[in-house]
Amino acid sequence: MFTYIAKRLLLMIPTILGIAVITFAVVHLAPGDPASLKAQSASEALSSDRMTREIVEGTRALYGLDKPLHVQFAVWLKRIVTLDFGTSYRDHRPVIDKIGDALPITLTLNILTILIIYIVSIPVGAYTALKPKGFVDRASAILFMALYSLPSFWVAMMLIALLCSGDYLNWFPIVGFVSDGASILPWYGWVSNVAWHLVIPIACLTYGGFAFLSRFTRASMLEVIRQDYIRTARAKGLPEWRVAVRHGLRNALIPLLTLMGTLLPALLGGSVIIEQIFSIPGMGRLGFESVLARDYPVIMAIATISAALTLVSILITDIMYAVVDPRITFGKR
Amino acid sequence: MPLLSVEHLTTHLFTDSGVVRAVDGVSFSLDRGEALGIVGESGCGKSMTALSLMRLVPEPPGRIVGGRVLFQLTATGGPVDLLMLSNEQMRKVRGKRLAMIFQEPMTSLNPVFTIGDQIAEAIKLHEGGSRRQVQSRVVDMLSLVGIPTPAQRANDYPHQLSGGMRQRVMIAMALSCRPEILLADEPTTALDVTIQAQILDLLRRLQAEFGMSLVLVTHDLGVVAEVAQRVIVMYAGKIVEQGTVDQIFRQPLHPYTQGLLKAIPPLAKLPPGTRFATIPGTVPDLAHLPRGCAFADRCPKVRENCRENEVPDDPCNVGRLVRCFYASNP
Repeated sequence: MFTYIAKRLLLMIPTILGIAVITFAVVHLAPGDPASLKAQSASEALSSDRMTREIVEGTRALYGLDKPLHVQFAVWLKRIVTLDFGTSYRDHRPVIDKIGDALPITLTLNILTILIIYIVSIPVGAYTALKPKGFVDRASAILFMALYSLPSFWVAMMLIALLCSGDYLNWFPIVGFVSDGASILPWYGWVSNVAWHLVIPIACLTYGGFAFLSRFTRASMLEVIRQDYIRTARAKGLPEWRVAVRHGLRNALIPLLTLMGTLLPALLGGSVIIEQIFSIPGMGRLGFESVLARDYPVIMAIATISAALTLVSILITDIMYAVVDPRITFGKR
Repeated sequence: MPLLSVEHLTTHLFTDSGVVRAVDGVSFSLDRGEALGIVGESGCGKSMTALSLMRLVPEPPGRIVGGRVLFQLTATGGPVDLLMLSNEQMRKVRGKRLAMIFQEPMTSLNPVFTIGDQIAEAIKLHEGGSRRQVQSRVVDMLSLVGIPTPAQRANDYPHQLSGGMRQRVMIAMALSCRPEILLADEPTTALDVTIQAQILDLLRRLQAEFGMSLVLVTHDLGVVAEVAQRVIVMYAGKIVEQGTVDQIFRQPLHPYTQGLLKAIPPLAKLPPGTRFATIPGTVPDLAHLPRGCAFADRCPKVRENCRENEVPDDPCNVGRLVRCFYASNP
């Protein structure tokens, strides 16, 4: 087990390196660079070409963008190995600080979203598998598919118009993660202020997720429920709910672990659309704005960290398989 | 007073292609300590009969549509119809008074729990007791069914055991609450021959030890001859012949039973050019049974009235159930 994990961790190094090369190349292949973007925004004030060129070249020299690409990559790589992600080109704050500001916000949003999706979908999926073609099965299928089909930007606008704008109802704030000045509130006041801000964004993030997970659980549970060991459990005289939960669901959830592998990076990723609409300063917005500004250090940091976390979560998933399914073992054979 | 008497048990499967009469008015009784064999081809309703007794018919498509299953639950009171019990009451019978083991030991155990856990679950459910008491019962049961080093084996998962061992675990689980009746649905079919003999020996020994009744469902006449005292031969959801092992094997009166016995491959080498005896044709579609005797199309003695009239239990008055108008020695 231990050697297995060590081996897997070692194998991650070339993978991350490959991802870094590709990300670096893609970012630099995109037209425009921070220097010319900076000059562009200044060019209206400075009409002279010479001045513009000076700004471009000065900025390039400052950030080392005048060097050949492979040298730039080597410099970046050298810093990354010491976990130095550099400073943002836009506001010269350390990248780590910018991510440190955005990450807790996105994590809060995403953890709540995923929890709600799982808490609703797994019981619904399991129940509909036990009573296939029943009312709950049909109704939840139609409802969840309808929700799944609604684009989130549209729903977000509709909810803002209905519940936030004051034209109809004015129940929730339109934008932001927390009110200005909320830090003077006691902790419970602060938490409820955040919760109040998050109701609509989380509603927009969750509603589309029920369909997939509940149908996935249903299919998996249907497969398990016709297994012979379910009949054995019934033959023991176990109550039906115990057969379903202990013998059925436990086995049906094993395939769901595969989905867990995508969970960790998804937790960090953030939704660009929702964060943008509700002006929530999370990871999605940070990444989006960094790409627009060609803020190379931030883009590269986000890409590398997500890549590393994806690999770690795949590893965790594989280890979890061995924990929940005794038939899977590592090493000895 | 028999321990169990089944009267006109009828189980139908409601499928898209029609109503399949899987168990079609089956009646028999079982005494305390008796071993009863139910034999027949695949699809004749023998497994469905056993599942109906447990009320474990997969629903949908199946449903028990009629009959009574009278079980002498208490020594003094009258028998109780299992089919009339509430689900709650039936659960208390299942696994405790009436237990069942299945054909596929490879898939009948839950892969994610240790075998000890799975046996303990039944004991905890029906008898309770402290953790330690339950655990020691589990180890006792495992050693009773002949599993070496039972205390360690209890922590094994099903995939770590061979097929024969798993069937022993299934038997340990079924017997852990000392049921009065054990239903064994093809318990040896998935095992190789030497293991089959061991499992049959074990069943016979435990049956005597526990004073338990055994219903053995199988298509293997050899198994029945070895274990059972009485035999039921089923065809197309109906009992076609019933009798003691001696009667069935020495004096089979129904043409179907005679065909089955002839179809046992002889141990001696067949002379070249000869074929194994078979019963021509196949089991009829249970959703669209012909009128009269269901075996008529395959019967060597078939006559006109076989296809017209429903055959009663014993039309020839031979003194036991032989569902044939022309019952006779071969």
